[in-house]
Amino acid sequence: MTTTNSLHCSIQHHSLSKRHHPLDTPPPTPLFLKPPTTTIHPTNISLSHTPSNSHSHITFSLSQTTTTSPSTTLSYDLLRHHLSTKNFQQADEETRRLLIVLAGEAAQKRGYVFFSEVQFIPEQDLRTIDSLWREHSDNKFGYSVQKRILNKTNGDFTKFFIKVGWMKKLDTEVEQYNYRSFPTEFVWELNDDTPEGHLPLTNALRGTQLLNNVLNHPAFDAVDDKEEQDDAVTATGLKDNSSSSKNLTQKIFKPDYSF
Amino acid sequence: MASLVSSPSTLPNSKPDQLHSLAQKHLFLHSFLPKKASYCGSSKSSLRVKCAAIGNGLFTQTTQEVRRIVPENEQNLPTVKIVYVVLEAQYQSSLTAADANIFIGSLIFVEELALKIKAAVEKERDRLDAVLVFPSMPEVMRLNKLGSFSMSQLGQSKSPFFQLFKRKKPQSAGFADSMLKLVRTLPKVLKYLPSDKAQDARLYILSLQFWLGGSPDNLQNFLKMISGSYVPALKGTKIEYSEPVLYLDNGIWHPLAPCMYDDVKEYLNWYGTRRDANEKLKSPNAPIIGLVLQRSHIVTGDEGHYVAVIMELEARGAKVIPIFAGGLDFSGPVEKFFIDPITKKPFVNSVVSLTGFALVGGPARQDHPRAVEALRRLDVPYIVALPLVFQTTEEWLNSTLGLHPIQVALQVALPELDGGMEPIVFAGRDPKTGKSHALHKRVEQLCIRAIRWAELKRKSKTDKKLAITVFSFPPDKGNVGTAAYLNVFSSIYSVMKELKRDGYNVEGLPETPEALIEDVIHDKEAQFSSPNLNIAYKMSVREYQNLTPYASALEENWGKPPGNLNADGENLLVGMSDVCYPDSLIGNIPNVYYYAANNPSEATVAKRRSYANTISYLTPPAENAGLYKGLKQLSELISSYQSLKDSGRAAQIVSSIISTAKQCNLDKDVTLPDEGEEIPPKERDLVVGKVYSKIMEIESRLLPCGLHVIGEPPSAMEAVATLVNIAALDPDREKLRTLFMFLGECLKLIVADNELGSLKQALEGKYVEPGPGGDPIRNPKVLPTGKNIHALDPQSIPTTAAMQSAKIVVERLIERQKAENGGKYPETIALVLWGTDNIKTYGESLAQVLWMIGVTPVADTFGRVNRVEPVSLEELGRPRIDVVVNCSGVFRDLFINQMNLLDRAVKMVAELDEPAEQNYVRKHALEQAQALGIEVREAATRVFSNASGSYSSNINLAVENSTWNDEKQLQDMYLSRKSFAFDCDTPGAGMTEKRKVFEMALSTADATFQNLDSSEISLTDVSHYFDSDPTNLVQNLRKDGKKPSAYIADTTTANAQVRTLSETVRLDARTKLLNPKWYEGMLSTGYEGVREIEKRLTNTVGWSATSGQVDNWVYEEANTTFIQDEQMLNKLMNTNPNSFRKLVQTFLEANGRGYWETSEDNIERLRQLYSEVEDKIEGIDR
Repeated sequence: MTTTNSLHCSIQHHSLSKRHHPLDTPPPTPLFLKPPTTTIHPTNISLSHTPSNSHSHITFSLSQTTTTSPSTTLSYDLLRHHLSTKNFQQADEETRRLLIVLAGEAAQKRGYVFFSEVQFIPEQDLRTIDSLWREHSDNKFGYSVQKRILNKTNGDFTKFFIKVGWMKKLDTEVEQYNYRSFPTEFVWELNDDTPEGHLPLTNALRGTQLLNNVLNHPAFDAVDDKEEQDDAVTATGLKDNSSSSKNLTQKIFKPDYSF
Repeated sequence: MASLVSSPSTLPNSKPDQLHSLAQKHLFLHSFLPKKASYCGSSKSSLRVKCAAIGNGLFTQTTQEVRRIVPENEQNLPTVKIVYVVLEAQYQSSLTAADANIFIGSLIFVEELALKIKAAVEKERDRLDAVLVFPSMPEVMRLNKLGSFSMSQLGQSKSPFFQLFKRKKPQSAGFADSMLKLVRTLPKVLKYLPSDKAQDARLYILSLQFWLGGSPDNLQNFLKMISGSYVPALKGTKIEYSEPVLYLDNGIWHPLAPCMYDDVKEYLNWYGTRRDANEKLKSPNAPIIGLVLQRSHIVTGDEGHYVAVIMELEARGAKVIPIFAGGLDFSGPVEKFFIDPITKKPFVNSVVSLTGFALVGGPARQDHPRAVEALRRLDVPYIVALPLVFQTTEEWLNSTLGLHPIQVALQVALPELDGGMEPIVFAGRDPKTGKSHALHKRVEQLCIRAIRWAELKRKSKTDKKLAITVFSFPPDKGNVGTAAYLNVFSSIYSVMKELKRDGYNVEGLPETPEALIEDVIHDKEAQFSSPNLNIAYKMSVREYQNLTPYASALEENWGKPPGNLNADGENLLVGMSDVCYPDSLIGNIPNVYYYAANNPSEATVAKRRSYANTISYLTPPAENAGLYKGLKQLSELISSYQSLKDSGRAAQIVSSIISTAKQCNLDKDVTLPDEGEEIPPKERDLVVGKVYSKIMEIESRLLPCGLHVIGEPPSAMEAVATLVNIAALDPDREKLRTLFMFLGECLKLIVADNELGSLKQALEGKYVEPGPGGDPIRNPKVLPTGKNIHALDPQSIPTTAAMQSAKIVVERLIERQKAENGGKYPETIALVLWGTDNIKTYGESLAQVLWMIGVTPVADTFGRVNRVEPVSLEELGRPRIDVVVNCSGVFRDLFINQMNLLDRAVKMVAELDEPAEQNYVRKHALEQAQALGIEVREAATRVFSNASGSYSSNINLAVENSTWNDEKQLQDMYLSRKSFAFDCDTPGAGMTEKRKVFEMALSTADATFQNLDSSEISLTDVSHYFDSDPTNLVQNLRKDGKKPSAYIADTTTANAQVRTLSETVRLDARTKLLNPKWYEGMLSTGYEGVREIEKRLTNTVGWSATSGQVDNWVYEEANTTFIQDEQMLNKLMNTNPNSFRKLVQTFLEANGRGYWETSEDNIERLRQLYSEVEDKIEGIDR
């Protein structure tokens, strides 16, 4: 296929506001814009956005964004399931869906995450997603893996995209790269030649600020330290996935309108 | 792009709320994107909708299959097939071969496409169930058909709807906007009409509302309504649809905002309460960027690229005010939302239009004055970035032409007329969905630059850092500070002085411009390549690599750092070369670029490639060349002859006139009797008259004197000189009163000095008014200088006036050739098309080509030229002359549409059923087709240029640097670099090498031809003219080895002249290089003046090399003037030793290559001088 613009993995298709969308009937949009398979059953997905969760957003202030506040009720079972069965394409879909859910109600209505909403995503949740990916990919996939690569490219996203295999070299006289076409031109298997950091995908349809904010989320601050200490430290918190989040949602954050 | 959509559907019981957003429409007015519209029906249990799309690119090589989505029709449901065309012509096969039910068109404002659509749809119109055409050219609108509703009477009916189209010249965007207005008001009326009568009309209006509403739901309901009402297969099945959902026509939109805003204060209030915004973004010091968006992208949900820009700006700490409008006129919303109604101050610090369109008029009829007026009131930097429209991302990346030519015309050239800057392609297009997507690197570049421009508005003058760069090419000390007709160092001095006065922090400004030259060059007599001098900073290779992320990309052409230029072997000396990778090199720095007002084409390249705000400067006023030395004596002799012609002294005076004329080498221009020959009194008048008219020609020739200094308005005398020239061009001397009124206005413009003012405006983050570039004498609108120069709408040329002038020149050219060749018509003329020339003359030379082959341009309703028609042989009254058109690289960049037009014209003529002896294009094409074993159409390839991205034959560089062995080598360069053809049959292929046809076509040339369009740029002023001259080459290629005639048309004066090349070379030498008025004027500017003299001599050698049309005496006289005159020689050597050395070298070269025969003494003296000046330069160097 000669399609371009692969990175537009089109988060909008995870628009949760359309929960009643009969997913077994794919819409006539071109292939790469639709959910690639029809095996997701809405009932499997725990989407209970508790009021407390959304309230915490309202009162969230910038100074507290580094505070870990995992959501209580988000289930990572489906992600874990897909990853453990090496169904990376489904896992990828689910990851983006989770990201939207984590970003809050507005993001769900909109169907994509605005970069500045990333700060509201609890550290623990991002770490959980990341560690699940790493766990089932022999540390090849995951946000923290991507972050390390981005650091190596000094924040240059073109170099990053080429490294993680999201852009392909064109057969032109001048060296040029174009975005890969989703989903056909991506690698959905964990092979030796699958580029490191290839998954999960983050849409570049709307530029790089979303990915930039995800990778620079405090959840992955450890990556920087880790690099400095040459892989010596493994953040202990990363291992205990979804269990940690008990009481955090009960924390009442003070409204802070000072900024 | 067109697509075809089929959708099987099951019908009954569909409920609108169960339907999905299937249809995507990204374009009503303005994005001509590939677009999917699909009808969908649904049953309770299942929904099956598939789209099939077919398309191919007009200029690009699009694979149709990319857009085809094959429908599945498992349940054998009725199928509705919809064909829609938004801008391009790729529907034809699908419409005729496949049996479409419904045709939809929108925004068809390109005539070529409109005619094709008309032809294709007209045939099928009766058979089609419905034809819906939304705002487009009237001929396409007339195709509309919805039951009894038809627009075939468009323009004749009295109904208000049709009245819209009756106006002969719809004012600007008024047409589309009034149509929109009608759409908003009409339904209210129609609703109350008895539905059986007005049903169809009502449904058309509803369709428009759905279309404008644009959202997937609206489109779906639209298709349901149309299919249910008009597709016979669905008759009787009542398909429910909802009413159109209407959105604000214009307002403010932000992806996070709960709603669209109609009031900027409300929007800002909401903005202030955003919880997600960080402190930087909330800071009152944050720059505020206004964004201009298309409503259609927002309502259709194709706004990913807009969101990308908003996110990028906000992430970088800039606030945004994104406004949108639904019509084609954005000037109203810009004023409404960006300007504080009370203080009249802008809310924003810079504005970026992401539409790619001119502010008023979109793709239809633009109103630039209105746009300029709104932007002037806004008074902030105005950037127009563009999303890919006709190409997918991959097509764009793969295309050697780059951006699609129609998009270049509509979305690069037209916004420039509004004063728009920085045409950055920030969004790509997905082939399957047609959706826009961010090009992340470009978005970053765009946003950083927008912020940098905005900061200029906020920063204090003392905080601003300004770098001034000067040209030095080829890198040599004698060339530091080259700029056409500009005294560069005095200008820099003048700018710095003014900036200092204005409050900028300028330290260590020397007392005089001369001292500034000393400071910059440090030692005029030292070589620039000498690493120990004149260097402000030494940069290590490592530091360079850190500062230039694209360093490795530069190595391909420039080698590994540090290289040899401006380097000492270890370190790079600052200034880096400025010719490569302009985008990377300019980085994020706002670029303000002074450019000669008479060079709009190169200024346009600078504007587009280095994102420059180009500010025009005046070229020096032109004066009459005057007479000198022998020519002056001659003039005096002639006047004494006039008073004494009946006396006994007449014979003696005539004899003196003849001998003086011979001394002045006029014998080549005027047939003179032998000296001593007795001339009968009756013939004396004739001889003297011929000499007189020749010296009058020389005397009255216009030439710019001296060099311009930025910020120095012309003196009273100079202003008057310019006025005289403007007046001379106006043939209508009867209306002197009107003329003087006009000249009065011109005078104001000539002396209105805004060059410094505009620079300061740009540096303060204000809007710099745009203005056309060109010859101030031809087009006083070029004045006052200090405008952001632009070219013109490429589709506007050739104008009718240009066609008129072209006919005269072509007929004179043919007459002259016939007169000198026994009454034989030339079979082929090889000629050159220049970008600047065609901008200044509104396409005269383009029109000349059309007239040679006997075709005439046909303008569409908007006055745009995209079509030609043959003129009958009877009307033409002569055979069609074949042509070989050599387009300059800049012409190719600016006027690829016109190359397309020319190629179509040539091919059309070659295929006319006419006798070969009356149609030389056909005659030669037939011969060539047979010789090469190809089709006539392919053989009829006559429009050539360089390969994409390449410029000039490089003969100029070879000559300037003396790096060529023989003329054959130069000719090979010409053939290998200029043999790339444009083919209108495969326009997407770009420039393709067709050397064989090129050579064959050139070998038939009987004449070569170029135009001189303005007095400031003549044959030896620039290296371009000889660089593109094929005279000697043609001689080599011709089977008979005959040298073709070489002609130059001089259209600098109202009465166009066609002269031979050698006459023109002589005229040029007499009025410039050898004319004391000219060289003294040059020398009065010092350093640069010496270089200007040297350049003329080098260019003269260039003419010898490519055409052999330079007489020996030209070199001889030059040697007498500049070398044998001790005083002159010392002046040259001391003022600019480097340029003087080059001058001496060029004399020696002219002799060495056999272009100048002279005495051994002269050569010896030159050799001696060369080593003297070498020693002088080297000696001081050490």
